Amino acid sequence: MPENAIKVSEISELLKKQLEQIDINVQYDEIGEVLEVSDGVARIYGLTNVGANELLEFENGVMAIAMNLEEDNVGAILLGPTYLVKEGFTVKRTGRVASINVSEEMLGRVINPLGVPIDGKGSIGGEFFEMPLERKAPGVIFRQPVSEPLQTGLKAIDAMTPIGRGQRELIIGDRQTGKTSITVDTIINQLDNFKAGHPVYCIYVAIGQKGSTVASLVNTLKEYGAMSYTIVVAANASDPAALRYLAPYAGAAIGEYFRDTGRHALVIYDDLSKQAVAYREVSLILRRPPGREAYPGDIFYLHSRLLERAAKIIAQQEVAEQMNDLPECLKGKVKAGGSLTALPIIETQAGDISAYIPTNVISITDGQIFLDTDLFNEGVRPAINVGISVSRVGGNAQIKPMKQVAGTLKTDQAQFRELEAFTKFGSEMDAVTAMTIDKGQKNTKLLIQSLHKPLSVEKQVAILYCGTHGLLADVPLDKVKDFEDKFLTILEYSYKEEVLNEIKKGNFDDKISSLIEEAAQRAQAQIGT
Amino acid sequence: MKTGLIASRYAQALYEFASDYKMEDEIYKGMKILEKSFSLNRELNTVLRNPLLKRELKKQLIVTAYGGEVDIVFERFIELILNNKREAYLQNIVLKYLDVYYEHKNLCIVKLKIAFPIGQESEKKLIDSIKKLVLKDLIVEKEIDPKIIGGFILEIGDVRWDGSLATQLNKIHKKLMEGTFLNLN
Repeated sequence: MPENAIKVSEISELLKKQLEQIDINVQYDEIGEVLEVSDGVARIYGLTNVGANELLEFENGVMAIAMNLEEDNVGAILLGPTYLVKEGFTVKRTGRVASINVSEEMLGRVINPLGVPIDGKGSIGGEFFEMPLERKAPGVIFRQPVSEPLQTGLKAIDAMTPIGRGQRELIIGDRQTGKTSITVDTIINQLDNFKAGHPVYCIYVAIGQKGSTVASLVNTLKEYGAMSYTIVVAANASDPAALRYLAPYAGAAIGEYFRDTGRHALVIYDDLSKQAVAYREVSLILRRPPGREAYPGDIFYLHSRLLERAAKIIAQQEVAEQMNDLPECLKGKVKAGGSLTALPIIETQAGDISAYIPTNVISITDGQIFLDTDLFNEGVRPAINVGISVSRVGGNAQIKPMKQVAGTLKTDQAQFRELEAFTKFGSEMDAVTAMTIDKGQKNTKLLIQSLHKPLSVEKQVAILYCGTHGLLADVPLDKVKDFEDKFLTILEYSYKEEVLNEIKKGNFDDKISSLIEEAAQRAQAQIGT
Repeated sequence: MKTGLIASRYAQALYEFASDYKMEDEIYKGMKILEKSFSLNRELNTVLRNPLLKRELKKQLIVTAYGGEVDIVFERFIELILNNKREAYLQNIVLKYLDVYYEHKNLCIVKLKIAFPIGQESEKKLIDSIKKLVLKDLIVEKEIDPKIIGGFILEIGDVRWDGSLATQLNKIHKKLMEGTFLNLN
């Protein structure tokens, strides 16, 4: 817009109203002076009454957060470019803790950790709720065990390492093993929930990624219609370390808004190893003592307090209303039964899951999905290593038919992997071993899934039934994929009512299994074996 | 590391040592000059931190920044700081010394910034009312700055009352620019 064009906001009546709101009383501030600025950190003299985590404002409008409160100076991390802050600047207290203004209109937008939109679509409107970035997790009495499933749409995960709403499931693996893809597929799979009117709101937090990567991710989500219920919080590689450190907390704060208003949310931290690095950077410049791998002593607390905020809130309204540490803006608006699921991502170096940060986060979360480079290169995608992937609470959240059908799949697959390793040495095999191996290989093929093609849970159950009940015994290994496609088409066209809808409702009996077997025979006939 | 503790211990020690020699006022005057040197020459801190610089040069530098004339108390103080390799904390020590000095002498520093000179009478009135407020003796530092257009800015210790016209205009500017692209930073 040309600079001298009149904007809608410049109507005299509105201007008059704005002028009336301006407070022209003498301004009272508590101030300090910048003594020293180093990369992303300012040391400030004065500000005697400042509180920990308080937001500070420099004379040119750059914001900072007070982190180190020492006897004669305050160490603050800058939320803007370092070069804008000079020694000798005055700083004032704002009296607010660092927080993000959350609004429903943020859905579909890309924002930075302070809530400022960075997608060039103008400012965000709607009713704002000021959610503090740092907030205590809900106490024991305000939680309930995980009971509802969060369907990722990936057969391998929903069958073997199921995730429940309110769970924290770590996704861990080397670079280029498909960690982000799993989470993107999970977001895309929530489209059905959104269309059905009970959405799972998704928050994708990108930490220290390339701007181009974030842009292409947003494009993918848009393409599949998933942006309507998704918020992307991005602190890119070029942003100050302070923003990269705060980004997951901003994501958690947005998620908490949905959680505490009785809705379901999913937050993805991609990835926490980069956040740990950003926090290490900030801590070292703040001259906090370094520990192992130069990380500060509270690096465990950094992640544990973040991941504890993922929770399933108790279903009793009168208890939920009493929740601890509720922000002022949410008082009276709390609804019971909401949940916040967290999927943190950790990148390992050369498959080393016993490094410092990975072990920390593994011990905090309720299970992990380990992605293997070798499997990925073999074409097993998602490249989930079944042996060391677990979900500690998700089993309770699986729907009944899935439990019935895939209950033994995980152990079977793990056994198969072990057997397979042995048979590589010799050629002779007894019939039982050969059968186990054949079944295992076909199941592995069955669990392979193309990118961005999530499968609904009822279809997953039907196809996995074929695998676990030996219906694939006569299908050659290279035809498994064809079989799956044909089988699913047949189900969709001929058995939708009596099989798919029944499974969706949670029913699974002999009648349904015989129908599945019938469909499997038809599919087998079609692929000509 | 508790860096804050270092400065306050040195400052406390210096004050007590100086008052044994009844020199705390002289040291105070020197410290004021030193404070100014630090704020006018931002490189001073960097230079003092440089481990390559010879000790003698650092000493000379500090003496110059102190105003050129050193008494026995300050001389010993510089020696102590250089011996313990704490010259990097000198600025903090200086600021802390001033705080300690004000506290012991029951003083309060008041900075008054006005756009144009005001009459003796109204100035006295203002100062008297501040005196009643803080119950301390005042050291008034007056500055005339046409940039604030009108009104006054008053700083008492850590607290600032800003009644200047420039700030109010700024506020109006900010309010009107709210939500526009120019306000992103």
